[in-house]
Amino acid sequence: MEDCRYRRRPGQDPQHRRARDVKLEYAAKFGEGISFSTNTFYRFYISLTFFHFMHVILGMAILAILWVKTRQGAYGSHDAHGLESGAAYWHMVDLLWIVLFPLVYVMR
Amino acid sequence: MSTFFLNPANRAWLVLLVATGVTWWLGDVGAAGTDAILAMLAIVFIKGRLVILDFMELRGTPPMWRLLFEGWLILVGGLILLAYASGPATSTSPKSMAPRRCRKQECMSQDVNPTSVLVKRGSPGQVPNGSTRIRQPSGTDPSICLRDTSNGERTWRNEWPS
Repeated sequence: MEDCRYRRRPGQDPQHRRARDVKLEYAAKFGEGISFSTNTFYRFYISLTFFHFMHVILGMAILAILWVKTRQGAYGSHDAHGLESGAAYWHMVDLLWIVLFPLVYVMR
Repeated sequence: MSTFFLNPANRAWLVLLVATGVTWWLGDVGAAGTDAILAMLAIVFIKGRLVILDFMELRGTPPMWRLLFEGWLILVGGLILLAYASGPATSTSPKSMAPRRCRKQECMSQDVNPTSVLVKRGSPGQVPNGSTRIRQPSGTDPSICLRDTSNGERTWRNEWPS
C-alpha cells in the first residue's frame, strides 16, 4: 500500500520540477526529507535510478577503454569482439532505461 | 544526407527521438489511466525493439537471440501491465484540488511513517482536537489528512480548518 502523501511522481510535481532545475534531482528529494524508507515508490525510485546510474558510469568507462584501444588500432576485420561486446553492453543499458524511465517518471 | 538514411541504426535513432518526445509529452500532461499505460507500453515496445534489432544488431540473427531479447521486452511489459491492473484504483484527475475522502489505510500508514508530522490529540497549535496532521513536503494535491476521532472519518484538505 503506497502512502497517499507521495502520490505524485518525481517529474510531475511543479515544485519538484522547479527544484530539479536548480539542483541535482537526488539533492532536491533528500532536502525535502524524502528518503529510501519514505514509501515503496521512493524505495524503488532511488534503488532503480541509482543502480542504473552505476551502469551508465561503467558503460562510460568501457567506452573510454574502447576509444583508446580503437585509436591504437586494436580492432579491425581480424577482431572486433571486444568492440562489439562493449557496444552491446552500452545499448543494453539504453534498453533498460527505455523501460525504467516510463515506469519511474511517467506511469501513475 | 542520403547515406545517413541508408544506415538502419540512424533511421532507428530518428524514430527513438520522436518516441521519446511522445513519452515526455505523456508525462508532461499527466496522462493517466489504462489508455495512457497502454500507449506508454506500446512506445516502450517499439523503442526497445529498435534498440535490440538495429543498435544491438540482432536483426537477421538466429531466432533464439531474438526470442531471448524481444521475449524479455514483452515479458517485462506484460508484468508492468499486470502490476498496474492489479494495483489500487487511481484517480483519473490527480491534479484535482477537490478534497476527497481518504481511505482508512492511507491515514493509518502515515501515522507510523517516521517523516510524517503527527500532532497528538489536544496538543497546542492550530490543529483541531482529535485530528492527525499529515503534511506533504510540497505540491498542490490536497495534503492534509484529517481524522475526526468522534466518528473516525478521514478527509483530505488543502488547508487547516479554522
